[in-house]
Amino acid sequence: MKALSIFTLIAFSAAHAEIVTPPLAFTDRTLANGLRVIALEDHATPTAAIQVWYRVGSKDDPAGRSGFAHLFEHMMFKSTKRMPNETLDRLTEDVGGENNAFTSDDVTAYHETVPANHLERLIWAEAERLSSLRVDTKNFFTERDVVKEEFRQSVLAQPYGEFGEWIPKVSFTAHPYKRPTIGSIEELDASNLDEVKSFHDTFYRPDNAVLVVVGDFEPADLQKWVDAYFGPIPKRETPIPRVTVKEPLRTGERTLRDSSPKIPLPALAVTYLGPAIMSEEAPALHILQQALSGGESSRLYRVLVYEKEMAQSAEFTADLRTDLGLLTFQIVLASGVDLAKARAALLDEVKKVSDAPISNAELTTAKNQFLASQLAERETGNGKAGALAEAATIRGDPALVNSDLAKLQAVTAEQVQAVAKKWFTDDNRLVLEYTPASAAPKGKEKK
Amino acid sequence: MKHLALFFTIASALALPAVAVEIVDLPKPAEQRPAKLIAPQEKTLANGLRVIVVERPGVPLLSAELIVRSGSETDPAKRAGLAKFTASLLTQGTAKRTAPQIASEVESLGASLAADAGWDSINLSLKTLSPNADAAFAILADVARNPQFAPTEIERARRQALDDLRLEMETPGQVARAVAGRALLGASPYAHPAQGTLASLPRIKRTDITALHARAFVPGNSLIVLAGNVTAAEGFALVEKVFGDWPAAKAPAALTAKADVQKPRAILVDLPHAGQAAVYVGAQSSGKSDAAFTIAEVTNAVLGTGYSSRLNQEIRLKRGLSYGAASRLTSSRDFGVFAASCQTKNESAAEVVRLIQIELKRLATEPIDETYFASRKSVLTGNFSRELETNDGYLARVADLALHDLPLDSLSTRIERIQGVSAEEVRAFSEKHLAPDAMTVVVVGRAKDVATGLREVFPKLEIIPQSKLDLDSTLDAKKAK
Repeated sequence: MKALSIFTLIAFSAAHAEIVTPPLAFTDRTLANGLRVIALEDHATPTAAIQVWYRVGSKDDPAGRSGFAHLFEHMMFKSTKRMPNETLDRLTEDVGGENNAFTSDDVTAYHETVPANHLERLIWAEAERLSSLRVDTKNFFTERDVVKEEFRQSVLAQPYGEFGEWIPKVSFTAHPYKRPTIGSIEELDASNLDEVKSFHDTFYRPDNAVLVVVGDFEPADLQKWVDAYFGPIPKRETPIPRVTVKEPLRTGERTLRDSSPKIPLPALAVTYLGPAIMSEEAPALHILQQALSGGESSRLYRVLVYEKEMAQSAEFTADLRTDLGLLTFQIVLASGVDLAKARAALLDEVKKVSDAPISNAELTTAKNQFLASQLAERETGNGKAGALAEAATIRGDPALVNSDLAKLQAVTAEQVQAVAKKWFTDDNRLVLEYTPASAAPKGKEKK
Repeated sequence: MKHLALFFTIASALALPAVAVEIVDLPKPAEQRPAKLIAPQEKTLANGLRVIVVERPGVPLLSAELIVRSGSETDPAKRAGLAKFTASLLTQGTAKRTAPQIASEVESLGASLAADAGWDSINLSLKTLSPNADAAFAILADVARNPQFAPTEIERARRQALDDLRLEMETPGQVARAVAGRALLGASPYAHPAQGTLASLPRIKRTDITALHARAFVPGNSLIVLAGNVTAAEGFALVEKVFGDWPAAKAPAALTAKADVQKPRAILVDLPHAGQAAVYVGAQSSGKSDAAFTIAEVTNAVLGTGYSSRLNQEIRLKRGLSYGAASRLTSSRDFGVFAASCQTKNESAAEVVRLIQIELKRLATEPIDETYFASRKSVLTGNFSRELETNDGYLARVADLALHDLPLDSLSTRIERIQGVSAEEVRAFSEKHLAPDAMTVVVVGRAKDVATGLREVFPKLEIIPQSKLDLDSTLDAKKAK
């Protein structure tokens, strides 16, 4: 167990104010079966936030089963040995709480917020669905249909949804990050109930999970419930399978082209492979993302949307993941803009940020925006719990929540330039051009 | 200097229903601990500007919203989109600052400033680190009081707004909402697409914009709500400093919005490349000042709020026909719209419409199971309690009451009012307002996959190609052909 009591002091130049972000004084212990338990007592409101994160994501989808980890996430709301279907909703929604879950490339996360007097029930229920899952065929097929509708809603019904799926598919060549988390209709259709059981057996085990609880409880009570409900789950001796595929470095600029009848305006993406999330370069890349893409003062908005009026929208994301990162520029063109000119203007901005350091004003703005967003995240128990769970599960150390901001505040303009220069090379560049197809449907809807 | 915030307890929050599931080994819940509410404090400046502060000490953040009580409902005929377009231009240059300067100054403070119009108001929404409030409020007041509306900025914003519209018109759910507004509300001031149309945006002149600003942006037509790390006295002083010398002027006459009741219609908009169909079933309903409004909210909760609502149970959980089905109540002061909606594969659109009709009929005819009814109320009270955990959530609740001239202390009775609604009141409300035959139905999808099934339900189905949609008119299907 450890409790932290340092304070992070941030002085910033814009308004000469000094802001203190109190550290999250959490406790941290690991049960004999390997479950990591992080708790933060917080009596601000009579609620409790519970999160359970598992180190399994869409990169762990079985072969030929793109979208399976996410489909599995849906199955975790179905019956277990002792709970009928949707019991989690009875224990949350019906008493004024809420629950949800998400799947990313690296993790699957389940979270609930409940009136604090219901906390013990949720600890019980999370232990129950970690230790037993009993899905039947009918439920499996119905929920698989729901996921297919989710695919249609988030991909097919969005003009640029398929473009968004195309980016990872071609940005990675070997690593399973190339598979979109939502998957595809064909591979979802190929999945079966036995695979659900086997996936639960393989990845849903205490030593692959982190439990975080934040809220209005007495720590001794919480630990007693954790011991009573999670403690008896047996320790597993077999190793957890991990993705070991290495994505090869890119060896030359490439351009790919595709078209769609759904889009009224062309779109353009430029991607570069980037470092893993634990890299020392991560803070500088976060600042770079903010300077390029955060708000209307950011470079891409100011130059491409406002000054040159070449883009309807322009974004840059530094998506750093467990194994490696993807740095993506994405723009939708403004009406009547020539694609080659937009491409040249975008690459010009990429070059500028690699050739010279960002200004002090840009650096200060980025740092203050991070400070504000961290404070906003910590307004709620669920926000604090999510931050602790992310740090513990993806980066291996919940205490990082108390040092992340100081690391960001220490980044220099030269470091930002250095990461841009290192990753935004010609050899590491992939350009995707996406144009409106003629109105007549061509039969080929997907890449 | 800190003041003590005024707290009062919501006694009725203790009366949450027991969980009905009987599960072996499931622990019993402990005794509920009460939540606390913060009473908003207010004063009116000498020039007539109403100021409301919610003191939430602790996290060094402050949210503020300036609300000007003239929104998209004031858009003149042929000028759909004027209020939203005017709002978008507020931050695009003042007498002192260019658009890029406004963005840079705001964002350097760790702040954000957004402008938009809704029905009934234009809003300037500021979020800042509370120690930077002085500097941030100076910019907020500058953009509210001194926007330049430079012709170059108007043309730039117009091109952007038109491109945004082109994208929206390819998105089934957004097309469905726009078409439903027209079909449900006819010639009401709330019927047109608030974001404008490809035809209306080019017609908006600079003088339309400056006239709206001059008429609407006066203290007596405005209010400002603050929520966050300030005391009431500090909040009042912040506002006084930048808005105290805002010249008083007569507020524009309040709009008397009468509902223009339309005959129910069934419309299919053909979007040939739609990857999914959007289904919308709606009717006119209660306004926020209506005594029956809480009944409408509880009815909405039973039908379509939360994961275990009836619509989501029938359409998603039992049949896997959608990622989520819900209903919404969108209300201004005097009337509102009650609508069920969801997205489904084109082939199942007609089935989903039928399922929605069945649930509407069931609401009007069958009694609701008591345990289930209590759980649906808990969804509403629980959502309300969670909204009050953040500055923005608190601000939104208080601003909504103030905008619609409702008493601020109704925050403290909300949970009690929800608990007081009876199942019979919900049934009677549904029978009166949500009869399946009286609902307007809009589906946006691939006509070749949707039309046949939908025509079986609605023999008088009107089919309009998306490319022929004229949202500036009241959607005469014959004219569209």
